[in-house]
Amino acid sequence: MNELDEKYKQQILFENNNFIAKKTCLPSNIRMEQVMQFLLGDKMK
Amino acid sequence: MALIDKKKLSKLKQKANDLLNRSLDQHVTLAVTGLSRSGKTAFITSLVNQLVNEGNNSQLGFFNVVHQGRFIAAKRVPQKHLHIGRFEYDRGMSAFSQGEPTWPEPTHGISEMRLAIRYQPKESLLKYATDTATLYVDITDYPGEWLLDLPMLNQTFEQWSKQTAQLLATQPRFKSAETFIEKVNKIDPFAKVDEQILADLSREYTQLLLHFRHELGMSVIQPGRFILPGELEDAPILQFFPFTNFEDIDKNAYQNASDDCFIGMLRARFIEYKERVVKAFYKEHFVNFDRQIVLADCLTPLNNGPESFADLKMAMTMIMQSFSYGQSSLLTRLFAPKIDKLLFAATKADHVTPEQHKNLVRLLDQLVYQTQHQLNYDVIQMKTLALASVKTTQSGKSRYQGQDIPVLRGKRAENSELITVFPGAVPSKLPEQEFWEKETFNYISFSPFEPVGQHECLPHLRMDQVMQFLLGDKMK
Repeated sequence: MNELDEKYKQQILFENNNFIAKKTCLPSNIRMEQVMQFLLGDKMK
Repeated sequence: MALIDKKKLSKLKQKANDLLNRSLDQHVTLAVTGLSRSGKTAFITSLVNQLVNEGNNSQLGFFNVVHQGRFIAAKRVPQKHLHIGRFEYDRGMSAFSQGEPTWPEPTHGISEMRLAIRYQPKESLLKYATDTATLYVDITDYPGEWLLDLPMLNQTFEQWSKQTAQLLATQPRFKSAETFIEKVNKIDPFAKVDEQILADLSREYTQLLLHFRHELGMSVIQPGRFILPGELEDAPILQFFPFTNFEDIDKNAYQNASDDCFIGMLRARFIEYKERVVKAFYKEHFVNFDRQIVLADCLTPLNNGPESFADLKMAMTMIMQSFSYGQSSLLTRLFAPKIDKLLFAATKADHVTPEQHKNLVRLLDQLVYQTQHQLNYDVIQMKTLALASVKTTQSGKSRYQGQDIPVLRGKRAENSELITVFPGAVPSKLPEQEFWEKETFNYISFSPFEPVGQHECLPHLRMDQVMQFLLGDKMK
């Protein structure tokens, strides 16, 4: 991990089989700010 | 008889409705610019693609009109100005949809396209008058280099020559400009002009500008029209160059020089260029823009080294002058533009891992906001963000020495090889000199990952946020 602790982390190439695609947790049309507004908004007026 | 009356009445009603709708329709003129190779063509192609194909697997969650289900449809309609080239959307889409997708060919000069977007108004007064409204978006694509010419309007030929000569005499430009400077210095400025020599030296100066831009990655290119001449190619108005030996000439003789000597003709063409090219652009186009997006590729200048990045910074400062409408602004005095929203976007956000986007924006902020204290932005709303008009990579993680590292998977632009890579971190501010002495940046260029159908939405990062900022308030 030393390379990644440096000030500007440098490029590292990996084998293509060492890749786990990122899972999308929420559908793109669900928006956190609206969720928060609905759940908490009225308490913070 | 009653039937005719009914028909007539219905027609009349339809006409009145059409008239009302026409008067309620809204227009916005969106200008898209960026220094060459910043991704203007890909941006406009993606913008149009997302809007006309909305609903076909589109990802526009942050564009309120889409999110609220009020977006009906968008289509291309004939453009407003017939004397301006049409933006070639279909050619751009062909590049993305062919078997082995590529980046579309870059555009040269100015082009235009018009979109009509149908939507249901919700909050604005329009909802009382009509169920559906249309927003016409005129998209104008023009080279950012043209904005670099604005400061020239405030300069005399002598001032511009001295400033440019200083730039040419500094590395990395000097290495390739040395011979040109020597040739110019040998000219007798008061001798009768030989137009062939003038044309040859102008060509040499243009070649130098192209070399600075494309080989050295420099951004300050003046006059901007020289490298993207459009319809003015080979016109004498583009045949001049900075006189690099002003220190050694007699001031009085220069003041009295006629237009048929070397220096006189250079000066005359410089003045003509300012009047007919620079001012004409601002008068004909710039004053009509409502909204502006400036695209900037911050990664390539980092790859090219500190001089290239410093030059980008200088170019952005010069570009910013076009948007400063303070009392002292040359623009206000000359043309009074009406841009009220200005978006600066760091392109190629998909070329770095997502956790680096914050730094990419910070870096752009520094380029843009540094001059803010000198400028008056009261009338302009500004925003910076990191985007990928067309996303070329997939983000994920890889195991590295027992830890998970964020990585990207994509195809190298140079050989289409599929790679998995942590492409390097993005500095949140420009590194100090000592870093550059030991290290360099080496961000990889990616090509589009897989073909996208002509009527499918292109993958992107934050195009919906761009649309919300630039168009959202017009579609309430």
